[in-house]
Amino acid sequence: MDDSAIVSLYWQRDESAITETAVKYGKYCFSIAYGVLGNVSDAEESVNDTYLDAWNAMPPSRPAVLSTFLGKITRRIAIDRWRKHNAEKRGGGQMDAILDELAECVSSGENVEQTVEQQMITDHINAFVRTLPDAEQRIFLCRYFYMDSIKDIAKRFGFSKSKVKSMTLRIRRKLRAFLEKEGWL
Amino acid sequence: MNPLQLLEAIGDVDDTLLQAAHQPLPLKRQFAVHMVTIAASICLIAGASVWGVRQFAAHSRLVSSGNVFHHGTSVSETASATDDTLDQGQEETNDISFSDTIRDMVTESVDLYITGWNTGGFSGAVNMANASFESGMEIQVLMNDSTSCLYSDEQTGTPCSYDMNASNTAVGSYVTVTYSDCIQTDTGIQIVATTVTRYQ
Repeated sequence: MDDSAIVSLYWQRDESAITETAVKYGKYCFSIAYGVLGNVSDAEESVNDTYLDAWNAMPPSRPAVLSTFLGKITRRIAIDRWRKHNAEKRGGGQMDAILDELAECVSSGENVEQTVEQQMITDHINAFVRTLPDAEQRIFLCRYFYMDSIKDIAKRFGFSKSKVKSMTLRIRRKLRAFLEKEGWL
Repeated sequence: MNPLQLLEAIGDVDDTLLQAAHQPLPLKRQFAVHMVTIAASICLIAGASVWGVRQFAAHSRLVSSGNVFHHGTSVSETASATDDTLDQGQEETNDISFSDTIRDMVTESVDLYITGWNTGGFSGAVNMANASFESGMEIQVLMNDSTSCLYSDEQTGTPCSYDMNASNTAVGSYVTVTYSDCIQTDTGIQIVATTVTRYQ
């Protein structure tokens, strides 16, 4: 079933929308959640929460790209779940490593004002990503949006793991310079 | 800003970027690039091998028949070639350009009648056809200081000063030319004369 038909099912409040979503995007959402949490049961719960969120969001939302719409929901839910668990102990997913890596790009634990500034950061991130060469764009988003492991990225793009590591390091340096230039650091 | 905020900000990047990032296309593209590279390499190696074998075969044939041709020499280079390269009849395997077509020579002499003189030698039309040249075919004969010019009475005319001491008055003369090089150029066939014997 194509994406527009699935979205229509949501709008018609047809519960088969969730079944169709699970069939088509279940693995996709699970891989994102598992990348964040590193735990099968937590990841599965995050995916189920994703379906519920999608059910509540459509309508009024009518996403143009259903995959990324679901992916963003899954990612947000998984990060929230990770944040709750993190108070107790760190999980086995990519989150710890990724946060350590991103700490190279930002200076401290200070918080920016929520919502408005968060949107501004996102705009700048978009602008930054578009400045990157094609391969670096993909690797950056695979690593820091989809939370893919270095090994998986290397396999996906046909690079060695060391090459991916060096590329992500270079990208992070660029990101830090970009954020400094834009006044975020 | 802390790392978690940065991570969450990354979570709202454009859908188009996200779609492109997670599509399997890059792997396919890489595979295709690898395949093209490998195919190009194979073609290059195969081409070089075929060319090498052909060159080796041609060289072997010439050596075995006693005819040593100097391949791949341009017209101007040939015209100004020194004694060292042409007089001694030494085997030479100069680089050959792909545009040159070396005739599969059976004989190394040709009978011509002179149709005109020029700086490098003279042009002539084939008087008597042989296995290599058809009758009437125009050939440019290149001469140099090592070219021996003979007359029918066996009088040696070396050096010939490129005109057999006959200047343009020799136009229409019949000569037998033995040669060391035969070159197919864009303008026609050129031979580098070893001896030019005037017999009429």
